[in-house]
Amino acid sequence: MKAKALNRSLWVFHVNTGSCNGCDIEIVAAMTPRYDLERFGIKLVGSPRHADVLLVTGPVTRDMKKKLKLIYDQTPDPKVVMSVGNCGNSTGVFYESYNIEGPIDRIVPVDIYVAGCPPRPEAIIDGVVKAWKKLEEMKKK
Amino acid sequence: MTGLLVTSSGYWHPLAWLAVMASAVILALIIRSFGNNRFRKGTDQQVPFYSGNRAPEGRIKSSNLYWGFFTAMEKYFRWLRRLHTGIVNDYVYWFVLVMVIMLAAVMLGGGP
Repeated sequence: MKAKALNRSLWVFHVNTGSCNGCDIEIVAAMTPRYDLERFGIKLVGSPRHADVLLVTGPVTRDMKKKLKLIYDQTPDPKVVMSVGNCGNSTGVFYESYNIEGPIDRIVPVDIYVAGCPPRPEAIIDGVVKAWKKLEEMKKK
Repeated sequence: MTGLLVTSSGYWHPLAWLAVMASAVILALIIRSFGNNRFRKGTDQQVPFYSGNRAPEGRIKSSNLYWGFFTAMEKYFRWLRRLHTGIVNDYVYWFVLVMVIMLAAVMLGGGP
């Protein structure tokens, strides 16, 4: 990625919509010294109102459907949504479960899909970099 | 009008005061310009984040600095509000009553 594109830090808000925590642990691993995402300025924030990227894990449970929609609406534009893990991408092992509203892209538009159960931190970092590129393209438009 | 006022603890000049105020306003505007201006007006992007829930009505706003006092002393304030009827006769009545009590205290208590 060209240094010119990095005009500011990328802030990420993580939403768990029913994950088993496997993907969440890998996200935390991406922040640890071994991978150290923060050296690129990529930072987890505590509110979607501060975020550029929504990082969503887990299939969307009934209870989380409304909340996910609201969180998506509260994120300022331009924004990128990343679905991390097989459950978020396709509901995974929870396919057709009575309490699942569907994969994330049935509730909010998803830009980046990261596969894996759970995906490795490298895959998550690769997804964030792609999100960053997409965000830059959206800004240019 | 714009003269220098020198006192034992320093000096005061209206132009110096204006310069300080102008600097403070400029600094505030510079800090404000660093803020996020990507929020679209009239949408949920301006709604406070409440963990994905709608913020309940009647929540305590940060602007209400005296909420603690009002809540802790609610009984006292309720009693005070009852006294504030807005009728002048009532206020004069309280005035006379307090005067009588004070006079009685002075007369019964005795002077020096």
